[in-house]
Amino acid sequence: MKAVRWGVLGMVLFSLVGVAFAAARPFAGRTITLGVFAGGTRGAISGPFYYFRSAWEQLTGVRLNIVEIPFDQLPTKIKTDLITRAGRFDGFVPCATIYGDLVANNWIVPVDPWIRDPRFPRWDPNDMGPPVRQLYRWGGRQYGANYDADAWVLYGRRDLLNDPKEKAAFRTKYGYELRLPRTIKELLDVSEFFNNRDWNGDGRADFGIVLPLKVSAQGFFFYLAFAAPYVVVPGPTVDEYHNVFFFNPRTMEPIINSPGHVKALEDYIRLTKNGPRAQLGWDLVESWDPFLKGNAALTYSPGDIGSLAKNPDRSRIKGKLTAGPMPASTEYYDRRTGRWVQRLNRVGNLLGCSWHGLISSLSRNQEAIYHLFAYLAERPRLFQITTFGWGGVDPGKIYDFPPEVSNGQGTGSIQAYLRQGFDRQDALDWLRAYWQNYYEMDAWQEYLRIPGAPEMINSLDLHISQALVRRETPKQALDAVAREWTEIVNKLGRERLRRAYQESIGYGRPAPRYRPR
Amino acid sequence: MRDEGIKWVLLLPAVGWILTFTVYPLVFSLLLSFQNWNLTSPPIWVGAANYVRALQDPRMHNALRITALFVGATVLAELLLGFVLALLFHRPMRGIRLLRAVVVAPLFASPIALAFLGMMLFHEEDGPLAHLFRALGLPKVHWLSDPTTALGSVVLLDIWQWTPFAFLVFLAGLEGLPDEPVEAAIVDGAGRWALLRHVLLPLLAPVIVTALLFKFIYSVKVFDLAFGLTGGGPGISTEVLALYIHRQGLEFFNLGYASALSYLFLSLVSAGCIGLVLRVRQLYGHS
Repeated sequence: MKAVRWGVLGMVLFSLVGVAFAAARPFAGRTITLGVFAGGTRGAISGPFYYFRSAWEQLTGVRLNIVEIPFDQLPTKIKTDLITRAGRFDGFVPCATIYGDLVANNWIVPVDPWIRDPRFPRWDPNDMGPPVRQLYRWGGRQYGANYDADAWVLYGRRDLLNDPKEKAAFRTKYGYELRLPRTIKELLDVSEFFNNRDWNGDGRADFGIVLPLKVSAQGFFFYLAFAAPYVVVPGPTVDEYHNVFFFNPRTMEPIINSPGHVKALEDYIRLTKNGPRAQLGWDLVESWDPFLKGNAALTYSPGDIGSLAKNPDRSRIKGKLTAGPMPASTEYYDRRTGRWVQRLNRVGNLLGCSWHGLISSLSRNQEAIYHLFAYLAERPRLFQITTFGWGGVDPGKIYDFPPEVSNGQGTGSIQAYLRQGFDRQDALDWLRAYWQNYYEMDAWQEYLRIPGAPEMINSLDLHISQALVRRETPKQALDAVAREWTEIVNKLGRERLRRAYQESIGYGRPAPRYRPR
Repeated sequence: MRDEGIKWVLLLPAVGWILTFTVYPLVFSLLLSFQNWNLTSPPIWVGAANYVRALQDPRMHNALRITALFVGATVLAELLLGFVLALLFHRPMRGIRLLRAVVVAPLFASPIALAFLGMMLFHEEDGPLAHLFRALGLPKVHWLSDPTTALGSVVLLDIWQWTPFAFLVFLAGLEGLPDEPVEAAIVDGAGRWALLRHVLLPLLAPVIVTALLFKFIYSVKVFDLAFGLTGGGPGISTEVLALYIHRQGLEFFNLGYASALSYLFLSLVSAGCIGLVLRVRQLYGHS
């Protein structure tokens, strides 16, 4: 009898443990599929998913399939999966450019209901810098969990810019002090000063600046980063004339051929002359190599340069890197008055993809895939991913920035970066550049993510390239872009796109500003 | 009667296959070319608007011109080189099998891999060609950054890959020729040039037409090399027609317009092929 009692008690206990275990692992036994940029098992964006896959699978009992997709096929694969309602992917990690299509067609689901749900790992959307936070949202709803923050910043050679001989020669030639450029004029002068002479003593002429200018290879981002301060007029709200770059949000008329843009393209072409002609055929990664190998004085790019500089296989400039936000212009064109304003204009950018996970509305495992994204978005884990360098996740969260680069406002630690092999000064300059871009600018360039954005970007990309090889003048090139954009707007529906554009840029709302919490 | 029935039953899979995978897509895309459809909203019937747009589209005109230049340069160069190589290798030689294998090796490379190989080969600062030119004291060549030379680079890669195809076809043709006409011409005192012009070329005419047609069709369809090596640039200087159609269809999802472009493309290729065959028939009197 006693044995039976113990047996029954054992069975009850066993069942209770089982129930508790099942409650703790509500998605156990399921399999989810994630479509992600193909960076490899230890590469950008996909790498961290591989790195934490096993730990997350053990925690949840879910099996995670990772499907890597090359950059240029990513939008097509995702859209095709959704359009055909195949539902192969439970979630995906796309470039933010395709948000417009995803939201407009209800292909992704908002994550707001789960953010405070105790069943899931905790993360805070407000950790992300205000302008980037907006890229994770649409129409007041949160769609993505914190992951990457992309922006273009300026990189230079600290040793070269501090070399007394170079400083003296520069002062003699240009009449002011050599430093990492803070204005477009300085950028043009410094890149010209270092171009086409052998300043590293390897017997070959070196370059002032290197840029990737190949078509269909992210070259357009470089014009956009350069042009922002010529065009974006700072103001307290996002309206018809302030804080806009691509379209007049009231009418959806393109402003891509406004005098600000034309002057920007003229100066951009001047800048590209201060580097090798070969860069007209270089993609993004090709343009990094001359800088990392010590053959170029300047470049501007996403965060990868900062993390690659520490890698001895790729870089000869560890301990020689400095960085800053994209240079300001000394004038900008005000469309409201139709006049140029002679004032320093510091405009931050959000260029790049700001990769983050989104949940397919076709998925039957929406909570399970959200659990994965939330797991990676937890503060200590995401900070660790950011410090890896190889993970392609760039700094943008408040906890990524040590106090010494953020006026005491960031909560990160430089030690974490040093443990991953960063040089102290390289890392501090790199992080400070990002901090200034996200938190200290006068305004930010908005991000084009409305339906039709890929076609618009392709048109811009091609005509900029045509201007760079002198097949079109800057004015002709941008007029052609404006014409083609107008056709796209008319084709897709002006009213529909106007609404989408206004929603995507927060039209009528206060412009994003950093307020320490 | 029963045999008659079985015959039709046996034919059914083939007919089904053709109807499903050839006729249906052709009819579907033809209908699509008269509509605007981006997959996210219902198709809209627009009549011939897509064809009118294509005829007025400067990028389509450019793509057509680039494709014509590419086809002209590659077909001519590959057939000539392939023929010369075939003549050289059509003789007893030591190690002939190995040499033939080496010559045809590029044919087995994937075009997209070849494009990436080309990116390294034509790298203007650190590529092997740049180093070679520097060592020889020759001026720098802007392989991929100049609109004119960029197309030349794509052409060069295609020639490198596809000359072996022409070589193989011509070599097979030469080896299949009867010996008597050649021997008779030599006995009659024909020189090398006369032998080539009046005996070999007429006898090889069907082989030449076959190689020409195959290579013409392949060159017109070129996509991978331009896509991988130059992305269609600088500007739109290497944007061939297939690449432009790919962009309209699979990057911008303008499926109606992409279908119209495809049908115009198909018409041009068909016209080109028919023209070629008629011209060759006229020249050589062969069927």
